[in-house]
Amino acid sequence: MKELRITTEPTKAGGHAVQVVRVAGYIDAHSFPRFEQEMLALINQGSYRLLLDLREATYICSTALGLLMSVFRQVRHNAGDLVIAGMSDKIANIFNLLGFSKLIRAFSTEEEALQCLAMTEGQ
Amino acid sequence: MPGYDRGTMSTQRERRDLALVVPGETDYLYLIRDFVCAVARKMGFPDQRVGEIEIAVDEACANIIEHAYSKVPSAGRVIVARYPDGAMQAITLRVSVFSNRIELRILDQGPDFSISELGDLDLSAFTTGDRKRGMGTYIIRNFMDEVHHTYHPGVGNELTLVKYLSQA
Repeated sequence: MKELRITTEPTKAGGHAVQVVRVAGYIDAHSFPRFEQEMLALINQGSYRLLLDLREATYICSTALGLLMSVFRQVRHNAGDLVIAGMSDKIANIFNLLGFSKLIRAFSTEEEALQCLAMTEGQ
Repeated sequence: MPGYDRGTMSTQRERRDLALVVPGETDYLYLIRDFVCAVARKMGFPDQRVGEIEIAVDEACANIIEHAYSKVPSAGRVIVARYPDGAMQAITLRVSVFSNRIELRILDQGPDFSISELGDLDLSAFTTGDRKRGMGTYIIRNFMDEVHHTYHPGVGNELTLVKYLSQA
């Protein structure tokens, strides 16, 4: 199982700046601090349109899922959004159990996720 | 193992036992996950069920590291649970493979701590409130068919997780 690698790259959707956070490997209790640091840095710098690319994510612990929900609330509070692309069936199963899928939108492809962010009203 | 109760265990044939012992540190959680996933897949659990077993075991072990083996600040000093010879306390994972189920026994050397002590979860605290932690117990209870806790005085906790192979 691969160690966590996180990369963030800017892009645009509908004229709005978007940060694409690419997660590869696992987010567990050991690697969670790095993931948390990355996500909070984006919030602190005012990036409120976030696309989380999970195509290469192999495992996400509940604490990381809880953080995602917290980040989601913060970006929505600032008229932004957090969407997910490429979530595996395994992770989606957990997402659904926790009821997060009712709030955080997930798409099969990055293109679909970006289209969603392009339509998000706000800054 | 002292105090280990075999009274309720099945005597079904074809049972296989495996075990893994790792230090009680988060660095080693990936080994535990890889181990249980490999066993569950070999048993024939479909991918989604393998994922459920994986997260249940990982969350249980992470709970042990955080609650049973946590570093406790005391008067400015950080106390790390260690044996007198300096060895780090361990997490033992014993896996019993039966024809119709997997039984995972997670043993630690910490104080009495049962996940049942973490009360029933209100998921709305996560979706609408500020709560970020505590979903692990909810996940364990929902993804595993049976969850049992036993505390062995002088030894530690034994958490047993059982999942049945579906006939469907």
